[in-house]
Amino acid sequence: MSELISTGIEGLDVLLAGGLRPGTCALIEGQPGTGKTTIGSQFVYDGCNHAEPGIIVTFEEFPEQIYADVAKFGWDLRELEQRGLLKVICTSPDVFLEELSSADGIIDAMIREMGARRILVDSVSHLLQVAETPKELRSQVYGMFNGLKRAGLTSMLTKEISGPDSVGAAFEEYMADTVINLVFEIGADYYRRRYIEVLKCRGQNHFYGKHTLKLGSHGAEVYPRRADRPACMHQPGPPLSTGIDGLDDMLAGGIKRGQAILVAGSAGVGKTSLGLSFACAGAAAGEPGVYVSFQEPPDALAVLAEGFGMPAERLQRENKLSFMHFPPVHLRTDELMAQLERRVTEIGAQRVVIDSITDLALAGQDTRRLRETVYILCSMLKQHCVTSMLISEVPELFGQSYVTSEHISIIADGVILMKYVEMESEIQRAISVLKMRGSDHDKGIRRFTIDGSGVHVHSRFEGTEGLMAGRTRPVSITLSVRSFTEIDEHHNQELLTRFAQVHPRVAPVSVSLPYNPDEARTTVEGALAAETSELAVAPLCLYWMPEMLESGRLIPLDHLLADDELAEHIPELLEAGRHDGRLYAIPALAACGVLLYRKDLLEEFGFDGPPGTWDELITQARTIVEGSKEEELIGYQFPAYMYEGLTTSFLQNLWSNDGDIVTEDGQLGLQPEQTLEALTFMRDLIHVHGLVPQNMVSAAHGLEPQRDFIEGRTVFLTLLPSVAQAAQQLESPVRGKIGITGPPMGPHGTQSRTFLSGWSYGVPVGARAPETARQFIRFMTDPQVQKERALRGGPLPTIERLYSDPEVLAFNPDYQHIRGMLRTARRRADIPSYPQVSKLIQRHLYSLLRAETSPEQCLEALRSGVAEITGR
Amino acid sequence: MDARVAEFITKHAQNLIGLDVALFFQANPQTFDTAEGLARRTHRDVDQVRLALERLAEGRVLDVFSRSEGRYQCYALARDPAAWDLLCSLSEAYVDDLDSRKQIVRLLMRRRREDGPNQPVTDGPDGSSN
Repeated sequence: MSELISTGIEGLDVLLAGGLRPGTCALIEGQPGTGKTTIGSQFVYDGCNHAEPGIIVTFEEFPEQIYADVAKFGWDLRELEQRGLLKVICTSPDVFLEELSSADGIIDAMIREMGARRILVDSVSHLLQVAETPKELRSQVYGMFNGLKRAGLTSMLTKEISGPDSVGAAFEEYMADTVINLVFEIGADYYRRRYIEVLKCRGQNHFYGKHTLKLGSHGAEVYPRRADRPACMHQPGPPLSTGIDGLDDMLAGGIKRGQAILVAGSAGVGKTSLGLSFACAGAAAGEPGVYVSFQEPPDALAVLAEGFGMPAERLQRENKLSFMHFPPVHLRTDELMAQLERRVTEIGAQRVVIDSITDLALAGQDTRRLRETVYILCSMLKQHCVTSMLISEVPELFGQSYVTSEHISIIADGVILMKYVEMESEIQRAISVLKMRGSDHDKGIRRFTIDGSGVHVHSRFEGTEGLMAGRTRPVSITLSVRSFTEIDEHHNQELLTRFAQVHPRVAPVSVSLPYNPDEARTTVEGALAAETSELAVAPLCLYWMPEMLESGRLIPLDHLLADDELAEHIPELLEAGRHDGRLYAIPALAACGVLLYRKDLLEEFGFDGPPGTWDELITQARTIVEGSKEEELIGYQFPAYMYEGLTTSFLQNLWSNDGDIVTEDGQLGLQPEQTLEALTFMRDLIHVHGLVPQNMVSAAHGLEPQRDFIEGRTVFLTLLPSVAQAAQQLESPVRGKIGITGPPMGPHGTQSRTFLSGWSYGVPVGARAPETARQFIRFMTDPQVQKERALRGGPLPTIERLYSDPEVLAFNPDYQHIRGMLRTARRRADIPSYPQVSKLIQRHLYSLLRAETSPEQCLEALRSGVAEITGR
Repeated sequence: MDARVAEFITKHAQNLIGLDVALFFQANPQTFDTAEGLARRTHRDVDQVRLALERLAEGRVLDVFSRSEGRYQCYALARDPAAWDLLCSLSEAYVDDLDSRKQIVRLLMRRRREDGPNQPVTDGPDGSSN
């Protein structure tokens, strides 16, 4: 390449893969006015400036005219002549040929004398004057080519052609080493543009096709039509903020570096505002940007940006933001790309906005050429590691069929659609992310507004369908609630109805989860995993919540409640909803294991208070059952079939006997003595003392012990406090006769310990109506609603102050006592690998309670199993 | 007007064609062409151009080159710097100074009358006519 000679035109050198080979002849052919003489003169002028003297031979145009013509480019040919670097020779074709060939030829002598290296012969068409036959002409031209080569000149010879049809037929083209064709075509916009094409370049590679030629203020400029080049698709680093928080949320943090995003929207919807935000936000963050506009001049754009509070003027002064304006009427896309690339390099731009590709279409390009232009533009920007935003206008105001009529969206890595929608006799703006390669973006349609501080993206349009098609219609939203009792279920239904009254677009459909938390978990897991979840609210049980949070399938709820509102919740329940510093679940109800007992029966049989130990429990239960007139009276019940309740029953007994699964210092617990006592106690209640019915281990769905107790058939029950509240209903025979206390202690026990439980609400990532879900969570966890539930026998509130609320205490004095138990209750999630450990406990306890294994075997199985699961 | 210029007008240019050819070589100093070629460039009668070229060659303003064994002659600006200075003074007087220009035209007209009515009548370069 170093041997090649520059033509003096950077873009033409690119087309020639470096320039012309020394000593070769290049034929520049074209119609009148295409720029042949300018290109040839530029070639010679460039040589003069690089110590390569040159000659211009003109057969027709006067040298004085050439001097004047090129003076507008700032070239002083007379001055070069005075310095002996140039001669502009005015002669006739026959004289030139004679002088080039004869022994005493003055032109030959001149070439040698001045050491000329380059020559322009303008034009070879005049050689027709000196030849009478085609054969003679060919001979003359052939001789001239050889004469120029013999003189060591690199030459350009111009040739006039009448039109495109003349190309490729003349013998000069066969003789010339390089053939460059110039055309001056009229486009679809009735504007004439110059193009240049290298038809032949002997011994060299060259770029094919027509490229833009422009006669600019410094001579001829060639803008090569860029070829498709591989671009670096994956660029490291965090996503780029659009400067609009809500949109960044929709884009899962922002736009990935190096991507090209299409922003399509109706006229006036706010595309330019979005583009300005993207460019200015980047510039302000130290990522320079270029904003290419075809309509709005830079001043107007700067004023618009300043109006939104973006410091466009300052950013321009600091060279962090650059506006480029190209009037769309006389646009040359190759020139645009070359100038844009230059600007990107100059300021180190990392972001570019093209506003808009619709204007590019006005540059007289057909659909195929436009698509190719956009593709090459994106490739060029990616090569410079630039993240770009391509704005496109869609013709329809409401509803639409295409993002762009040119199918540009195929090229883009992402598509953001901005639309007007009609809602309740009002025009609103909607934004959605249709496509975003490699990103788990929000699939929803959100409302956005534009005010004095810019673009603001709000929540989704919910409870409606057909927005983008321009045909909106209401749809129902599925909200799920967790009910513990029948009363609770009625109350929840009432709350749902009330919520729907203040959210008119919501036609809620309630889903009651199964009582068994393991079965409920399956429902919730399905909702979280779904791409589009019908379930808008996911109830999350405290003990399996950590796994749900880790799944990354919940929407953060950080700003749903104010700090002072969050501070009202029981801290242990609130903290359970946090993961990696973000809040994903709001506590909705609390629970803990308690011993429920019949105050009336204890009094009747002379017991002063509820049992504090296992022995006391056995004694009191046996005494009452044996002395009671009720033949079917059951002494004691606890969750004994194979589900989570069985684990919690065991844990309460283990903890209240000073045992543990894993010790505080992280070692394997399940201390043999304490554990064996707990296992034996549970087994003997069924098989030795006969206080617990044997069929309890095969209960159908866990509600039987609760129903037996409420209907007055059981003396003691280990379950949740909500059972006591349910027993307060008017038709219950035990209404006002229920007492609540902590779990009784074993022989080694020093403190009654229970487990902490509860349910929180979260929003699945794929929820169709996340904003409605957020509002519903806010509504359901509100202190007033929780108080209402407590006063109607619902589950325990998660608001701490309600446990000392006079009205609540008046309704249920046990609340004060329960609060004490909640404070000392232990979290199951603190046990390592709890879900697996719980399953293990259930499996072995179930066998024990069915008398299939002994307490010793069960202990051994538990110890080895837990050691394996927890690695201890 | 420079005396050298006045002398050149009367002795060597002699008429408007001679003046045009001289000015052409001043404006295009690297010209190397035949009488036919220069006649085309100046759109003048070739015989009259040839006469003008010969006079300018006699006046050492132009060099004449015999080519193809005397079949034709080519003319170029003489290499003598004095010739170039003279043409530059002529151009300055004729192109840049209206009074001088009028004087030059009058000189040429006077010379034409002295030479007799057989000389062709030609529009002057400034549009004046005889």
